[in-house]
Amino acid sequence: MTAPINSLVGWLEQTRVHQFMQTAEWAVPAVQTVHILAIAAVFASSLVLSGRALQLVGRDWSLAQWGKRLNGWIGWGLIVLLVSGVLMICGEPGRSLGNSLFRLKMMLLLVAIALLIPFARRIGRLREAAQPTPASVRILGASLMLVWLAMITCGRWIAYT
Amino acid sequence: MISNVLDALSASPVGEYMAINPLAFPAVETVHVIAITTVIGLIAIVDLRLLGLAARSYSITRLSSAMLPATWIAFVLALMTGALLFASQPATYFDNTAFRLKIALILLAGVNMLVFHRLTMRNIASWDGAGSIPFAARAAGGLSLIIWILVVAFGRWIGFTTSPF
Repeated sequence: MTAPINSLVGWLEQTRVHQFMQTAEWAVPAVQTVHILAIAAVFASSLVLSGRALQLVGRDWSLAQWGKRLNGWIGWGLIVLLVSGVLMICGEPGRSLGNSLFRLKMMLLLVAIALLIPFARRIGRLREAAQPTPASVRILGASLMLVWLAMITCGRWIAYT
Repeated sequence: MISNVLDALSASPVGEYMAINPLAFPAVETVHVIAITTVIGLIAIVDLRLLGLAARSYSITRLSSAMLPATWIAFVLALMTGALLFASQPATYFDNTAFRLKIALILLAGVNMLVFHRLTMRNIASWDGAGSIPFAARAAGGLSLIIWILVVAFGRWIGFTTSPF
């Protein structure tokens, strides 16, 4: 581990949140439950939007309508993931911050956000239900799904490495 | 009787593989998480519609039939990966209270769905569109949401009452 990360780990271990996550027996499973439910919101919403972009599901609504329905779940879901993720890091800062899979997961998060912004923007312009989906939107949706799958995989394996 | 079945499962090639191979459990668990988050996220879209909280302009029957195929595929995947995880330590899981509650809740979700499809949906034609949703349908949606949230909670709890993960 590099020096700045070491000092961050040392500082986090002094915090009250760390104490709490370490001592309250129910804290870690409860926070993990919230984390998984937020994954469900983000992952399933993205799945529906990508599926709709590929004309596979939900064709009664235009992509713009689906975006209106699900964008908020993805956005707020990511915020809940961030907060619950930070709580888990506070609980065991050394195990997470020093883990290479955790770092890969955070890099993938940046990729996901970089895909999400243009995806949401382009979806918003597709207001007709019968409108064909441009290839760029289909590629953005499919890539987003692959990035989420990779992130979930990293997340689960952090606990074992 | 049941302990013989559990022991046989534990001693089977699958049980041994899941228990011994260090990569098997996390790999299967990863697929389990992907499957269960898909199930819950897609079901929640329909539940919120039944509660009248979202997607009011989408017909209930068309929305649920749009979500159903992927939900079933993910559910079967969750069931299969769950069975593999169970095979790694059958007796331990069988004796675990969180595990038993989780299975009971999944069965309850099934009963809730059956009641909704067989009874509540009989007169759906009058409330499939933008009309007001009957209490029984709202209750089915609300109950389903609560059940699946608890399934995740108990699922996570199993990991804290059986092994360090």
